[in-house]
Amino acid sequence: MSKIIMTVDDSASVRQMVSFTLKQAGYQVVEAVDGKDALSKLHGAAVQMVLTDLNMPNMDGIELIRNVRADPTCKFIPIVMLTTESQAEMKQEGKAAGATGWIVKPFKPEQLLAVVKKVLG
Amino acid sequence: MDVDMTRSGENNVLKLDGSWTIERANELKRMLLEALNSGESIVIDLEGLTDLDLSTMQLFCSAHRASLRECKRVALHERKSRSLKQMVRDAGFARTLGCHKDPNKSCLWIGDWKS
Amino acid sequence: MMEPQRQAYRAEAYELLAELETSLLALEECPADKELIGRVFRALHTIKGSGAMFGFDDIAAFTHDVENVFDLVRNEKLGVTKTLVDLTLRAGDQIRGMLDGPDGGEMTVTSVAGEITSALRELIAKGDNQVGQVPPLTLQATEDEQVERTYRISLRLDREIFSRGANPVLLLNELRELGECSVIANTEAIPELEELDPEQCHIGWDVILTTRRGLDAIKDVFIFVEDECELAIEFIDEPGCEDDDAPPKRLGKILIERGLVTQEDLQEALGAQTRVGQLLVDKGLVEPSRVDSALAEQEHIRAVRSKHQKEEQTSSVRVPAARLDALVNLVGEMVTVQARLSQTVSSMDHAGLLSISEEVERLTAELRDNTMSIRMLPIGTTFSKFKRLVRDLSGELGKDILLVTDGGETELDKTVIERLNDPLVHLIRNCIDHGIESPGVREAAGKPRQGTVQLSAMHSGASVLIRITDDGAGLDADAIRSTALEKGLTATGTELCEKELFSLIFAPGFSTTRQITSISGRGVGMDVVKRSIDALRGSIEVSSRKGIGTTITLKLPLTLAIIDGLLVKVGDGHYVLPLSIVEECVELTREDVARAHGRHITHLRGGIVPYIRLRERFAISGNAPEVEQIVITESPGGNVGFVVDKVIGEHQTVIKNMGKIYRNVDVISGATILGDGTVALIMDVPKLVQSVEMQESLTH
Repeated sequence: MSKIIMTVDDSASVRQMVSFTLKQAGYQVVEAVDGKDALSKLHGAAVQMVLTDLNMPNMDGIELIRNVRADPTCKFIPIVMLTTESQAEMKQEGKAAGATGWIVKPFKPEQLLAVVKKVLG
Repeated sequence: MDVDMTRSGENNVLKLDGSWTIERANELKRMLLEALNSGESIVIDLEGLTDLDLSTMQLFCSAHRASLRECKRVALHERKSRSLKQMVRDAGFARTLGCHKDPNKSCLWIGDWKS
Repeated sequence: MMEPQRQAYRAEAYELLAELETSLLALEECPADKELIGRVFRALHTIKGSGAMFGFDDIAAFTHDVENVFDLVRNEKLGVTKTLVDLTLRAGDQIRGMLDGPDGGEMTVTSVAGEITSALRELIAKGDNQVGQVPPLTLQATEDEQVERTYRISLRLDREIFSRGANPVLLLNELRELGECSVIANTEAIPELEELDPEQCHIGWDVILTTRRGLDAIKDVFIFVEDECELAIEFIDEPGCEDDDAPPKRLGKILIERGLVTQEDLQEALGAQTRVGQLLVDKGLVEPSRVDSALAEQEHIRAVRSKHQKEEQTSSVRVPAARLDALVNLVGEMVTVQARLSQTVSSMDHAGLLSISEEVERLTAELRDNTMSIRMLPIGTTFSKFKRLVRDLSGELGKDILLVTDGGETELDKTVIERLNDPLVHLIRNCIDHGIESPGVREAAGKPRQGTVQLSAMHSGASVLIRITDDGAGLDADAIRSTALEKGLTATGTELCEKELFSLIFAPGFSTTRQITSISGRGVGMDVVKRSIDALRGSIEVSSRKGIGTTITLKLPLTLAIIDGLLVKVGDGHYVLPLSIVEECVELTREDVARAHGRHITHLRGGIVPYIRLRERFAISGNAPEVEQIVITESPGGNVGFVVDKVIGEHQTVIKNMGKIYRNVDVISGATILGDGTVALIMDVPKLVQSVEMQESLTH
């Protein structure tokens, strides 16, 4: 059974790139456009890991992480945030909210897969 | 039913089937406490267990520890369970000496887990 | 990166540029609007970030400067001016130009771009230039091979680690990937059940790791948890740092080094003549798990050093294979004689002789294992021969096929490897001929033109699994069904599951391909393959998905000559079951039989296990004893028991082939000679189960 990963990003091209890379590596992917969308899709899809951007309209990544960690049914799933070098504070905030790890944008597909393997096994 | 407790005399058999990971750690703790408080020994039957993680291992260890103080017994049944063996090896639980409070070497992790 | 992805990026970038323009123009109206500034920044940020991911490196580089400026604006270190808006609008045009460029971004940076960049940099210089230091994107260079060193890593994670979605076992596994690794968990801090919060982690670890990858690679493993854990990495051993010939550190020394006991305690403990570890534990001076951990370190270093020594002794001796075969035969005889010796001695009640006999038994077992290991060869040499085969055949058929091999270091008995060659050739030919489609067909199906055949080998218990996987068309279940009907291999109306259906391709005379090629398709392949694998006491399994590909798995025993067996008795006859599949032995009483009302099943810890009565199966006359024994064995379809009169015990079984006359008896895989000279038959358990199943399905 392949593992299911959710990618949350308001940029369609990032979602597509992440999705494409993960599917090539044999994962199943669920896409969400922002934190709100992600929360609404999280339960139905038996998601085993979340990859989320931080800057997003409606509900940003930090808020999403807090919500996931507060939900008893999925509070232990790994969450990796997509950050940038200039977002050191955001990264700290994300960690405090309960993010498992992070990956710095821009990244290459192999870097993404390495991080996924690191937190999902 | 993926969990089942049966009694035979003073012995409680706690049968865990399927996946018992951190999501159910609190539930497992309750079951173990109940089993420990209501009998002289617990056999944890893992034959149908498919998935466990560190939190499960920690609970088994903790239950064994609690049993020592009250001179009760905890044992794992079907140590050949593939997922258990894998976890014992991966998490480095295999022991030769057991722990401090365990003079009789009833430690759950003593033995050969290699093959 | 694939073209559709680049196209998606282009489309999105155009959208973002349009948004950028709108936001910039609005920003000119109200320069202090934070919302607008945020939107501009996000647009630039995405253009840059995704650009780099999709290979538009010059767009990423160019946009980088613009983004930096707006980062300053966002942080209120720079104000929005007309100059800035002008420059940014021009930058937007420039990016659009680069997107339109012939090769999407490969266009050289024009003088305009240079002009904009320098003007922007000037602006940055006016603001706080702390930010413009984004390091260029590089993939982390893998560290070069360094000297192999051994480290002691002690790790204690934050208790809340589970609530951050982290799994410490994955960290340990990552360390294992770096090199030889011994892991010991420290469990003494786990509270008793009442007090335990099961969602917290109270476990710590000591890890001894030998790696060439250096300290940074180790630290990288912990990158996501480094702020939330106590991590100590010490360097403890290196080849040549101390005299390699010196014995590994004594246990006591390791414990002192780790600050777990004092020199005085140790001295005192050493005064008594027992093992130090046990002694220190008994005295309550140190936690047992710490001693275990120190023992693991000692063991680890010993292993690493001996590996080194082995590597250094590269010299080897070439020996003719015939001499090796002769040696194996002699060892076989030796094992038989030893069994006889043990048996004779045990009936003599002679203590002195008994200890000698036991010594001989031990030595013989060691001799056996050593001899067998000499015969083990890596399968890789066979694998490499197939590269050429695939290349030639695919050329002949006008197909484009890549052979990927994996696990070539897996060792197998020399004879098994030799006899495996022909079946493997057949199977690979089949993949190439029937499995992989021609490039045109593949392309039409949305697959890459080049097909892949994967050949892999791995250990699994006492067997080796060899897999041949192709990403071709897969087996056509309907075609197999109709051919099987046509050839009378199955009756009309019989419902076969997929597995049964696929196994029909091994039936003699089976072939579904309409066209016969020079390579395969005459239907003489697969049944021959199956027979060869059977002869090696192996099994073969097919799984396939239409359009996706086919996997054929061969399961082979590690060696052919000697196995560990369980010797049992039924009537006057002796039989051997391979010990590797024996689960346990239980008693079967007359009452048990009566209670089952004639059905051949027994109850075992709440479950039911069907059994086969060997006495009936082999038509052995005479009466069964009051209490019989059931040997429970592991079978693919669940456990199956075999009822015997008596279980005698483990037996080192030297396999002798049966004569030609018995070739059709497939429930017996061979014979062996016991200590007293009698012959015991070796049972082929899967075959036996199969034959009983077949008989039952016929009678019902």
